[in-house]
Formats: sequence, C-alpha cells, structure tokens
Amino acid sequence: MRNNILLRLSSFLVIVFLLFSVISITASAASATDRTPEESTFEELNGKTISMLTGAPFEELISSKIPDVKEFTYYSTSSDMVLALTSGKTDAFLQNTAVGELFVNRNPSLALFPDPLKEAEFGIAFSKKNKDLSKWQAAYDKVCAGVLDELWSKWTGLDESKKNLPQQDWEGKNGNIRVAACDSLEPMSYMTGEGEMKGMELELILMMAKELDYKVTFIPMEFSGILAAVEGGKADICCGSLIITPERSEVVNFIHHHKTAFILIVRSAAAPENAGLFESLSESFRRTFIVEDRWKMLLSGLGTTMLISVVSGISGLILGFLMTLLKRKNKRIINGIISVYTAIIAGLPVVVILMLLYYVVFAVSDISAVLVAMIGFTIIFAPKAYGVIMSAVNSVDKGQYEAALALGYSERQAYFKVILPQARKIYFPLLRSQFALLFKETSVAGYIAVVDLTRAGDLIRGRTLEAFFPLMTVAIAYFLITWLITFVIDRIGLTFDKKSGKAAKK
Amino acid sequence: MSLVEIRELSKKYENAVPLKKIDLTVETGEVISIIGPSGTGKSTLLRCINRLETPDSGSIMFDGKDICLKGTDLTAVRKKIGMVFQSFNLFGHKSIIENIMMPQQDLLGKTKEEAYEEAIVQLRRVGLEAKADNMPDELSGGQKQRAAIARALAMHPEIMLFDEPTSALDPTMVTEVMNVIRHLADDGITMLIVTHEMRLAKDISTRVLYMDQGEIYEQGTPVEIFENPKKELTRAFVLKITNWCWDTEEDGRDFYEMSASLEEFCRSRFMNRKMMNNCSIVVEELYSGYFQPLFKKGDKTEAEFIIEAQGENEKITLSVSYRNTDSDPFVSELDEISSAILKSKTNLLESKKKNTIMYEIKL
Repeated sequence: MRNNILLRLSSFLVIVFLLFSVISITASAASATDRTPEESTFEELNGKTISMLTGAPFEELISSKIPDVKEFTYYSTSSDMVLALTSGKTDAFLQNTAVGELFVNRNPSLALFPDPLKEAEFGIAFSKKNKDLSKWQAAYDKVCAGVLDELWSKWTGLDESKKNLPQQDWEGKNGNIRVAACDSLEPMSYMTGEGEMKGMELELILMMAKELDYKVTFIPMEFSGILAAVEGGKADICCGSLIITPERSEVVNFIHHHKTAFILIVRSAAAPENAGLFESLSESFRRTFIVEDRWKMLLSGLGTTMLISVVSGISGLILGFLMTLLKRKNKRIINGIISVYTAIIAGLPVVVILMLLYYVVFAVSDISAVLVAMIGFTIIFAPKAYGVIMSAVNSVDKGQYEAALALGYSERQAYFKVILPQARKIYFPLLRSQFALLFKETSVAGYIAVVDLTRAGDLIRGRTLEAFFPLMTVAIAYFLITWLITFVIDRIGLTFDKKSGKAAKK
Repeated sequence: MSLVEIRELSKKYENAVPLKKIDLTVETGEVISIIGPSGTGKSTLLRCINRLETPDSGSIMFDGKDICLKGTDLTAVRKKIGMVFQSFNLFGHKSIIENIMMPQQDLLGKTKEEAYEEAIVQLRRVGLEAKADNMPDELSGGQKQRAAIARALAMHPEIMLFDEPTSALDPTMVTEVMNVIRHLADDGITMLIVTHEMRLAKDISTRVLYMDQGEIYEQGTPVEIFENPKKELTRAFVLKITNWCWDTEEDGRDFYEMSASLEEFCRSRFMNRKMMNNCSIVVEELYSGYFQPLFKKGDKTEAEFIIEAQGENEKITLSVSYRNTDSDPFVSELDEISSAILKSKTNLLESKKKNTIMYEIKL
C-alpha cells in the first residue's frame, strides 16, 4: 500500500522534472549574434529591477546614477543572478568586471552595460600575523605583474582547455602554506566539476609560492568563510575576488593585483533564437552531468551526505542513549548538564552550531570539515534521540517497572529487559523520522566547506548557470534516499519483531 | 521463628495518612486479609514488606533478617516474596508463558526447559494452560490477573502479597480470580491480601486485620471481625458493608443518585438480578408514594431508607422511617398499582421503632 503511494509520488516527480526541463530550456535558449545590450544608458534603466549579491553596499551608488530604480533584489550567488536575468526576474545585476566578462563571453544572451559604476582593485589577502608580506610582494612584482593581463584574458575567456594551474613540482623547502579559496567565484577562484580548485588568483598564488618555494594547500570554502578562516588562523592566505576596501584592510593585508570595476550586466538585445528542444535538453544534460565529469561530483557529494548522516546518526543515537542512562541516575549535576545542553542545541539554528564549531571551537585544530560536520550533527542529533527515548520510556506504565522489581529484578535489569523493549514500539518510528530529518538537515553542511550533495548541486549550478537539472537531481536524490532510509530502518524493525516473535513460540 | 515480624513500622507521606508504628507477625501458612476504608495505608504496609516503599523507621524481619537495614540485598529478598498488583502488570512485550518463564530464567538461573515446565504447571494451577502463547493484551482482566498470579507462584515465594487483586476487574471476573486465591489458601500458601472483597476476607482468611487511620485498629478471626466487631470504627465499617442506608437529609433527595447507590450496594453483595430489581422497585414505590408528594409541598420531612442484607441472597429487610414532621406520611394511601407491587414483592414486618415501617423483601 505504502510502496504504491511512494511509486506514484516518484513518478509524479519525474514527470514534473521533464515538464520543467521543457519550459526552462525553451525559455533560456538564445544565440549570440549581436551583443548590443538591451539597455545602454542609465536613463533606460529607470523603472527596472536591479540585483546584486546579498550584502553588497551599492544601493546608494546605483541610485545616484539611476534615480528611479523599481526595486533592488539580492541573491547569494552570481549564477542565481544570471538565471534571474535570463528568466526576466530582474533586468540587470551588478558584478565586477572579471565575473562580468566571463559570463558575457560564455552566455550569448548577456551583455555588459557600457559605463562602469565604480573603479576598484582585486587583492589577495594575507594574515596580519604574516611577517613575510614584503617577500610575497616582491615575488609578486617579479613574476606576476608582467603577465597580469595575459592571465586575465585566459581566465575570463571561453577556452576552457587553457585554464589549467601549474603543477606544484617544486620542492617546497619553506614549508606549506594554506590558502582559503572561495569555491564558487569563477574566474578568480572556483571548484570544477571534478572537485579541482582553479582560478586566476590561485595561479597568481602558485606563481608567488614557486618563487618563494612554498607548497600550497587550497581549502575550498564559501565566500563568507574565507576572511574568517584567515583571521581565525585556519589559513594563511585567502582569495576569492576580494575587492580591496578600507574595512577589509583593517583585518588583513592585501597584495593588489588586477584593476576591476563594478559593472552592470544586462540582457543582450539580440532576439532569442530557439534551438531544438531535444538538442537544448541534451546539451543542458551534458553540461550538468557529462562535462568535467560533473556526475562524479554529485556522486561524491551524495557519498559525503550519506557518510555524515549515517555516522552522526549512529553516534548521536549512542550519545543520546548514554544521556538517558545518566539521567536515570538522577544526580542533580548530571540532570543540570543535560538540560542545559539540550536547551542550547534546541535554541540554536543548525547552521550556527556548525559554523561555531568550525570557525570557533575547532578554529585552530586541523581537523577536516567533514569531521566537524559529523561532530556537529552528532551533538545535534543526540538531544533528539535522548528526548525520543526518554518520552518513550516514560510512556511505559510505571507498574511494569514495579512488577519487575517485585519479582527480584535489579533496577538495571528492569530497565533493559522490561522497560526498554516495551518503549521500542514508540521510540522506533520516532527515531526513524528523526533520522530522515537529520539526513535532510545535513544539506547545510556546505556552509562549513563540506561539498555534500546540496553543495555539489550548487557548484554545478554556478558553473552551468542553469538551475533546473542540478536542483532536480539533488531533489530526487534526497527524496529517494530518504525513502530508502525509511525502508531500511523499517526492515531492521521488522527483523527485531520477528526475533522476539519467534522466541514467544517455543 | 515467624516468617515476617514487623515492629514499629512508620512511614510518613506528604498528603496522605501515615503508617503509625505498625506491629504485625505473620506465621507460615497464615492467610491474612487486610480490610478498611480507602487511603488508610493498607497498600503501603504491603509494599513496605517487599520494600517497594522504604519505611521511615521500624524493622521488618523476614527469614530472620531485618530487611530495612541499609545494604540489604533487596533483589534476593524480593525473589522470595511474590506480589500481585491491582493492575496485573504483565510484561506487555512477552507472551503469557514468556512472562512466567523470563523471571525464572533471569533470576533463578533455570534453563529454558525447566522454566517452561514450571510455567505450564503454574498455568494449569490457575486454569490458563490454553492461553500460554497469547499476548497479555489478548486476555480478559480476570485471565490477566490469574496469569500474574501464576508468574509470582513460579518463583516459589515464601509468601504472597496481594494488593487489591480484584479491584480493577469487572464484577463478572471477580469470582474467577477469587476462586484461584481460594485454592491457593487450600494449598497452604502464606498470603497477605489487601482487599475490598469481603466475601474473600470472610471465607479464606485465618485472620482479618481492620486498618484505619494508619494503624491496625482491630484484628481477629473472620467471625470476630465480621460478626462481632468490638471497636466502634470496625463496627461502623462492617455495618456499612452489610447495610445500605440513604438519608434524605445527609445524602440528598436526588432519586436517581439514590437508586444508583442502591444498585452498587446490591452488586457488591452479589445479589442476583431478580433480587436487585425487587430492592429497587420497592424503594422506588415507597419513595415516590409516600415522600415525594411531601417534598413537593415543601414539607420539612426527612426520610431514611435502610436495607440490611444477611448473607448472600438470604434475608433482606427494608426499613423506612421519617422525622421532622407532624403529619404521618404513611397514612397517605398508595395508588392501586403501587400497593399491588408492594404486596407482591414484600412481606410487611412488625416494626419495633416509632415512625418506621419494615418489610422483608421476597426472594
């Protein structure tokens, strides 16, 4: 009965998936014959919607040039803004010239607005504690400054085959240097479908490191984390299209590299020309899954998600169960600790707990982000398991316990042989749904530089500038795995039931 | 040496009557019933004996050892004391036979086969062999309680404690459990029974304790307690068991409440259906024939109905009296139907008291 419903649900999802792919692809297909922007003067932008990255402080600047902006909207990634622009949700978005040139080169339906809004400069950020900044600056001046424009056109250009980083074939006598690099800011610093870090700033750093004879380790993370990583000592250098501002200069030291500017990206005035439905569908599929072996990234993301949820599910369950045992001792201090712990976890958003662990608690230690995520979800899951088991145990009639004691069972025996087995029919289904919840909750692990299923989808989305296939794939994967988890846990429960059922019939 | 010797046992509760210095000796083979009003510490006393409750002071000698001392191995003591609860407390996740086998295997170190054989013996004893493989939920209340008794017996305890074993049962199931307990008494098992079932106390006890206000108020043989109680509270309690009394001043003039109370009394006396009907019809006719007209007029008359039952279905008398009035309600004529009913259901007795008429209700 239940399986039937699930089957119907999943076929429904697949149909929706196909339907949407038709719509989204017909809507976004266009050719690059003419690159004239739809709007080419500030006046034309009056009454239009303008977007920028969340937190970007440019509203005033834009308003001074375009007095009558209809609305400012904010997105968390550039690829989202491209999607919004091509689908008509917004009319222009603000980015730096590096991103802008790359996107326009790649996407024929986009064009650069002729007038830049504000000049700026990119920088590679060094920890204030780093005493060797002058050495790095000297190295930069020697090997990087001359080839800057060449690198710029290489990384913002269309020829993907040229975009390779030099091998680290030097000795690295001076040790290892850790670089916190944003994993989603093409062309400066990004992760490819194969999970490889690339980008112009990475190449610059490698060139300097070679000159100074350091080995380099790149730590991929979200943009929001890179400065904190340097400040907190998790990395020595960070990069990711950092624009030099006085505020940032107070926290880190910069090596200036390429000039840039903030520029608006608008739709190209070219009339969209529809490609064949099947071709665009298969092209879109190819870009999402085949190019750069991106399916591997999704698969390894899925593996990471499974690993994190299974490990923290099991260890959280164990921890939660230990808590119920401690609680039974009914010592004041223990009870106090348990209720404070439960209250803290209950009162904090999962993301905040993860970030606290990653950037504060484990800031100085070198443990991997996946391990931090496991620890995080363990301490998040434990109080839930504890609460479920406690309420199940409390729901067992007190008389059962008394009867066991009266027969001569010790309190411990009574708990394990009489109370827990009877609580099982209550805690088991609850734990099952809590576990399914945990599995879905792990989707925020991307915040601490874990490339899980969701993050893998995000990264692919950032590269293809198409939302549909990556999001649907991720959604269907979550749905199926959640269903599978429920199914497997149910099976485990049935095996238990059979075992105790067999014992009943001698 | 006595099996159990309780000396000056006290236990205080925040919102209940405390146990006050209880002294009690139980010899092997005794069957002791503990009766008394609710909330007078009967169950607490019982639960102190297997230390489900911890007494505040005093001592309980069991098998020559004081089990109230710190460091007593309670599990060892409890293995020798069987307990049957009001709410049965069979382990819900195990079948009936497993309920009986599990404690033997876990606590007495018996093998599965030994435990199984013992379990079958005890199930046969309580007549539940056929239900061995059923789950507790599939049994009626009476069957559950019998299974719980079998579980306790399988441990071969030196004494069995029954904590209101029939209180949670439907009236129809009380008898089956009572009969099982009766058989145990015949087998010579030492028992302490807290009960509201006076038939049980009367029939099988070697000794009856009447508890009131946290102490053993009076004790003696069943005959002494039930037929010839010496102290005032005991007398009142026993009277309440054998008599039903409704006073319109104390209990109110709600006729439906009154008939419900009468019905409950009849049930507790195990009257058959016919007797019960006769009692309520007669009371109803008298109430509506003589007193209701007066009450309606606003007369200050108060009436008292007393039904006295001797034995089960043996002899039942009803006396109706009035007070607070100058007029005699009994002079008013009953209508034809009412008097016909009364005639067919009762014999008029001669009353010795003033303002009272007495009937014997026909069997």
